[in-house]
Amino acid sequence: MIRTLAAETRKLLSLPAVWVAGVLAIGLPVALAAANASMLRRALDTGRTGGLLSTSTLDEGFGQLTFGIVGIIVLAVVAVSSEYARPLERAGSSRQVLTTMVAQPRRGVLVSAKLLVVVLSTVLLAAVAIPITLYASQQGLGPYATDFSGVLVPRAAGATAYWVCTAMLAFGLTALTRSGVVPMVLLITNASMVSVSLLLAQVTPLAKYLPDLAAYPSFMTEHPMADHLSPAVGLVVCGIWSAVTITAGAASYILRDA
Amino acid sequence: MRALTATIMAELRKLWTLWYLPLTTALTWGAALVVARTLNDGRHGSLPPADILRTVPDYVQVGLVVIGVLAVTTEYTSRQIAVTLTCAPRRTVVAAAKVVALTVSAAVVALGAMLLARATIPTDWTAAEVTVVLLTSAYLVAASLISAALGLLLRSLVATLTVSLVLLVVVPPVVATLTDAAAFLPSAAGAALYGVVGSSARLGPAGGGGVLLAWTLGLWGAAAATLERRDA
Repeated sequence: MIRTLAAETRKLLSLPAVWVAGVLAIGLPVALAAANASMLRRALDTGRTGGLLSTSTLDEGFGQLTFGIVGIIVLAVVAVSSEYARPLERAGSSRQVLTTMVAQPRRGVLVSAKLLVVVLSTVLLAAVAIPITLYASQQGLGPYATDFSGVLVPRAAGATAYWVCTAMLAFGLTALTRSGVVPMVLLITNASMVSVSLLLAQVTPLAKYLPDLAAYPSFMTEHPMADHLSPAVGLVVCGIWSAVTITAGAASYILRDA
Repeated sequence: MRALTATIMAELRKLWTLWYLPLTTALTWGAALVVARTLNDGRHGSLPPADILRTVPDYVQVGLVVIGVLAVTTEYTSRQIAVTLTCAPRRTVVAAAKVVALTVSAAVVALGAMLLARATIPTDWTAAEVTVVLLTSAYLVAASLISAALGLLLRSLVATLTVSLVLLVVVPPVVATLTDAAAFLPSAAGAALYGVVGSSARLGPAGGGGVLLAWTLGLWGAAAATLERRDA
């Protein structure tokens, strides 16, 4: 298991896409938090808040963390899909997954190690991204910054849990479909403002059980739905989504002909 | 000219024999129906029909992005590109044929989606709505072409999908509140083209159309030049 973990870590870190994913996961929320905070401060200073979607500073910083999951999705997708791809430099040779499975024939161990490496990388990226994003946001807002003391640790933990859930969803979907298309389209689009979740939130109250809308209350105070889940229940619901997807993905990885 | 026609036919055939194309088309059309019905059900202060049609592209453009990305990157993941370039060694012809084939295919998907969205609205068509349907479809085709050009430049499926989705879907609404330059992003230019009113779409129809065309032609120019010069 230790050797497989080391191998999976090395494989993951040698993918150029993973470094891009890291830059996206940290860079997107930090840049957006800094830009949004300074603009919000200017607007609040001058009183010209007409063009803004929201003048609330309650979720500044934590709100921008939702964009960091673009990087996390890329990370989780390439960890699985790169094994099935035939990149240019290996044109004509077999897919990496065959080599991997020859080296470690116990697929349960293999998929667990791969998932563990992805989850740990996600936690690591969150541990870097969250403090920098919050710092950038608080610096930008200056006197208008919300005081997070007291709620900082639980909300940071909630945001990290949301990132981990998303990583597991992306991982499971990629293992199921052996391609990054479905998880990327579904999850990255949903991380944007034209998300299917937000549309469904206007149609049915059941939308509060969608993974992203369920996880939001654990790190944000504002929510697109008036009637939303409590932070704890939300995280459990999000966890169930990931657990089901991961189980399906792992079963497909273990049982299906590679 | 005959080489170009033959290559276009070959590109069209390649596109429509890919299993994901009918699937993505069906999903895109389904999404158009669902979104239009949702916006139309009265709970949203009954938007005017033209505004419903102007909102649909935000949701269905993902389908067109996927078609554009996969049209190009599948050639690289399966190494089909080697066969393609053996059959049609003049690479600018291949690039031109890809543009034509994708434009035709994306137009069918986009127009179909917009017509289905319009079909959920019970009132009679107005001239303005015809224009909106045509211009939203034009934007969707451009989004598909932009994604395909990025695919030719980046060649990797994951990289192309990431860049396309971030550029066209994720970043524009966020950046719109931050800087006026956001009006020059492809989706904001598209919104200006089909008549969305707002600060992020302040270029106007002609300006928006021009900017969108510049993005498409610019990226395809770069993609064609790269295809021509780079080892495939």
